Amino acid sequence: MKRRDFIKKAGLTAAGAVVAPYILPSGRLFAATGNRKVNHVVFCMLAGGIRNNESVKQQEGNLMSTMLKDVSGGYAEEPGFLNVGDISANPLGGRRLQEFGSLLKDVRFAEGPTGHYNGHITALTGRYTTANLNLRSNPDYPTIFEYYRKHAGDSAMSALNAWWISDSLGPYPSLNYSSYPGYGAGYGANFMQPSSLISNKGYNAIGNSLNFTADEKLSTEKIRSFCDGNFAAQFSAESVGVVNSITEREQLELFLNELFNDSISGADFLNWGVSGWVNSDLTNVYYTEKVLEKFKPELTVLNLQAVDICHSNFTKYCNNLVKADWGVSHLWNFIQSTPGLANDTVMIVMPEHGRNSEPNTVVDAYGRPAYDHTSDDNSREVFSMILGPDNVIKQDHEISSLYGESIDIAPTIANLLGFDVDIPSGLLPGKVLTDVYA
Amino acid sequence: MNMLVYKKNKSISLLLIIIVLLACSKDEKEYVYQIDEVEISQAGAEKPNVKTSTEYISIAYADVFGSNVPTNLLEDLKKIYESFGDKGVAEDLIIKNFLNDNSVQIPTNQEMEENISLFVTNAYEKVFNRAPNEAELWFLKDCIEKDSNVSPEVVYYALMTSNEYRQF
Repeated sequence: MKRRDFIKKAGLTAAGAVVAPYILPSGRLFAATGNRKVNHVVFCMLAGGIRNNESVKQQEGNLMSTMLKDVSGGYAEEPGFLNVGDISANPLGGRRLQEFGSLLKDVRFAEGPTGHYNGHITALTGRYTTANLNLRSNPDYPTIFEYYRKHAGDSAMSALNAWWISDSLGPYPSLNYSSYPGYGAGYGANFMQPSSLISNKGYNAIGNSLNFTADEKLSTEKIRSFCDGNFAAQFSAESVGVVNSITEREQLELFLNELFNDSISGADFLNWGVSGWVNSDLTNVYYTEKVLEKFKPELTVLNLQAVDICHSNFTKYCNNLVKADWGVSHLWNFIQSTPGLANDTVMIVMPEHGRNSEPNTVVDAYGRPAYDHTSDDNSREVFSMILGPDNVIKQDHEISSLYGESIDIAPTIANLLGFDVDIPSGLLPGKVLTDVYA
Repeated sequence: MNMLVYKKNKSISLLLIIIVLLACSKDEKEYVYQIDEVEISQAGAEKPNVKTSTEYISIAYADVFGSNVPTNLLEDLKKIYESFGDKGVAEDLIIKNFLNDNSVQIPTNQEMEENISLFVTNAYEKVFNRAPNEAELWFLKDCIEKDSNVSPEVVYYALMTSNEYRQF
């Protein structure tokens, strides 16, 4: 080969290697191009509508005494409020959660109706929405789960890496993926609503299933594959929601059986406090911890909404805020106690919206008026807490001035997991909350 | 003389060639090949609609137990169905739970072995609401005959968790 030919061919080969897309083992063409700051993000929507008046402003005393430092003399045992002796001990010992990260005391839900569903959509899609509540429709724009699974890199291909754990049904099962072209169920998160699933009725419905031997399983797969092959042209893939591989489905079934067994043998949350301490929020925290322990997902979102009782009972709203506060701190403590998650997880806490400044006409048994959330200025005020390793998130840091919006959480999660630069421009109008970065 | 003999032989040779050629020729019959008209349809065709959770559970219950699902159970199952994102997992567990019930009404192993064609045809008609085509009938019969692991439960479970069963 002549020297000139050799140089020409070698040059072409090198150019081809650069231009040709690198096919990852998972089948993806490209890995995410950004740098990860951590490998796990947990977004806890402290939802249900919490006023800054009762949270960071502590106008009823410190109802969030495991998360927030006292600014008003601490917890006040007012009539109807939980007795101090009935409140479980701080999971963080003598520390407050805000010490492990940054507290943003004045965040805005700036646009759109302050409804629960709108608030959830805004937080999960990073876009304000004025869409009316449609109980069976997916969001119009991609959720953070879809951005993650599509753009975060090869390990993101598994749906087991993305979880949406809701405290209730209604419209919330629809939030694990959008109807946006190019995204959708194929990039959706696994969804679970534990309190319905892990129950007596749940066990009766799915907990006593026929066990096939390994050989029988192979036979069923052979027959089903044949049937599916014949029906492939007509099958509507979106109809099955998020899809896990056969192996992953087996893991999920095994996981559900483990949860049933755990429940039958006496779930550990029964030891979390006195009788009546554990409510639906804390149950959701418990099963989120089970998901984190089992799958160590990279992106997990859960919500708590028991405070929404504020529409009719302000006293119970306050008591449920005490429980939600305890649950969030328990979750953080669990993360820091779990190998694989400890020191490699950022947890973000934010209500989906606030509540009105003026009460409605309902007064509870202790004479306290109730509050709705109908898009007044007060209902747009929320706080946020972003916690993480000290080399990633500023520790024991407070930002008291107006900083951040609800739509900033999604781009911040994308930045933390290193795929924000891979998201097509224009889809996420919010900004990354870099002021909390170390 | 020689010239005359040569011409005569030449004529005879030509005549023989013509006779041979004529003897070899034969009227060609025209054959027209055709196929019988057969209606061709894709397996599972004309099922463009996805079952709702209510439809899926109600139909599955009726297929397995031969009766309508009680209202309370339907509501419970719907809740469970909606509580898990991967519908395949939810359906899988619901069907396996149904098949583990003592009152299940599907053929026994003995009934299947006695007439495999009838078993397959009945299973298809019950589950897919249509008869199996020849390929499907052959495939399932072959599976049952050659694989001792294929029980009625295996067949019903496989059909009821297939993609075709999600649509109508």
